[in-house]
Amino acid sequence: MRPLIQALATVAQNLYLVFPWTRNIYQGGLKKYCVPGLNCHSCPSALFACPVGTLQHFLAGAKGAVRWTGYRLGFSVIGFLLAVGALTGRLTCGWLCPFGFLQESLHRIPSRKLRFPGGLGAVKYAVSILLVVVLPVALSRATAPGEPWYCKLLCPAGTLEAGPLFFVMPELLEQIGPIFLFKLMLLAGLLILAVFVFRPFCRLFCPLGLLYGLLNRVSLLGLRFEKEACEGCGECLASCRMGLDPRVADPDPECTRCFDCLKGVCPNGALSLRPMGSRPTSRDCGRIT
Amino acid sequence: MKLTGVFLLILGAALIGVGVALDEPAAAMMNAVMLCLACLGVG
Repeated sequence: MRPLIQALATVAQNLYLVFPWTRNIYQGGLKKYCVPGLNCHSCPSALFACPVGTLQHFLAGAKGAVRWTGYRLGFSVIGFLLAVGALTGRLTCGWLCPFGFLQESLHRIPSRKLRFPGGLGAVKYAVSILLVVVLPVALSRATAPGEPWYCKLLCPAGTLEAGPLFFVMPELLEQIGPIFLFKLMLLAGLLILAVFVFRPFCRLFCPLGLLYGLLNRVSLLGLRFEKEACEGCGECLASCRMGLDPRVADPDPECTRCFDCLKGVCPNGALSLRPMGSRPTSRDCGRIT
Repeated sequence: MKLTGVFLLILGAALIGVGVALDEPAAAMMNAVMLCLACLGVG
C-alpha cells in the first residue's frame, strides 16, 4: 500500500513528460506552489516548486527585499512547512517524498543491512543550517542575491532529477566542473549506501526531514501506545527500519511516520493511530511512565 | 489536541496568508521556472 502511494506521489509531482519534445522545464502556473517533499523544481518533468529551493531563493534575496521594501522573505514557504509539519510531522517523508521512495526501493535489494550510527544525526543540523540559511543570506548583497548553496553543493535529488537536462540541453555538458562531479559522486555514494543503510540521505542531510522531525513532537497526527496491552514481545521494534522503538518513537525526530509498526505487527494491538484532533493521553507514545 | 501543534498550524496558515498578500507565489514561480543550474551543480 505505502510503496504504491509513494510511487503515485512521485509520478504526480513529475507529470510534465513532454519535456523531451519541448526541450525545456515545465513553466506553468502550478510552479507557484511547493510540494511538501524534496522534489527538484529544475527536474524537467516537475510540476511544482521545491520548498527547500524556494526557501533558499527567498533567503538569498532577503537583503535586497528589505532594502527595496519588497519584504518577500519566504513567509508562504515557511508557513507551508510549519503547517504541514504541525499537522502530520514527518508523514511526508514516509509517504510522499520521491527521494525517500527511491532510497527505500534501493534498500529492498537483498544485501547485508547495516545499522545507522546514531552519533551522525547532528550532521543534518549543521548542514541544513549552514547551507540552507546561513550561506544564502551571508553570501548575498542587497544589490546581488546570493545562491541556493544547499542545491548547488549538496542536494542529490537535484543532481538526479535535473540530470535529464543534459539530454535535452547538451550544451550544458560544457559547463560541467568540479562541483558537479562532487555532487555526482555524493549522489552515487548515497544511492549505494541506501542499499545497505535505510534512508541515509534523510538521516544525514535532509533539511525537510529535520524540520518535520522537530515537529513530530507537537504534530496532530501520531501514534498511540497502550502500555497495558503490551506484552513486551519486541515485534514492533523489529518492524521499524529506522531502528526506533515504536512504543516511544512517535516524538522521535527520526520517525518518518511510515506506520509500518501498525500493520498487524502487535499481536495485542497495543499500537494504533492517534487521529488528528484527539486529545493525547498518558497512553500516547513517548509518554510511557 | 496538542495546543502547540494547533498554534503552529494557525501560525503557518497566517504566514501563508502574509506570503500570498505579498505576492510571494509569483516570485516563487519566477524562481522555479528558471533553469536552475545550481540545482545541477553547473554554471
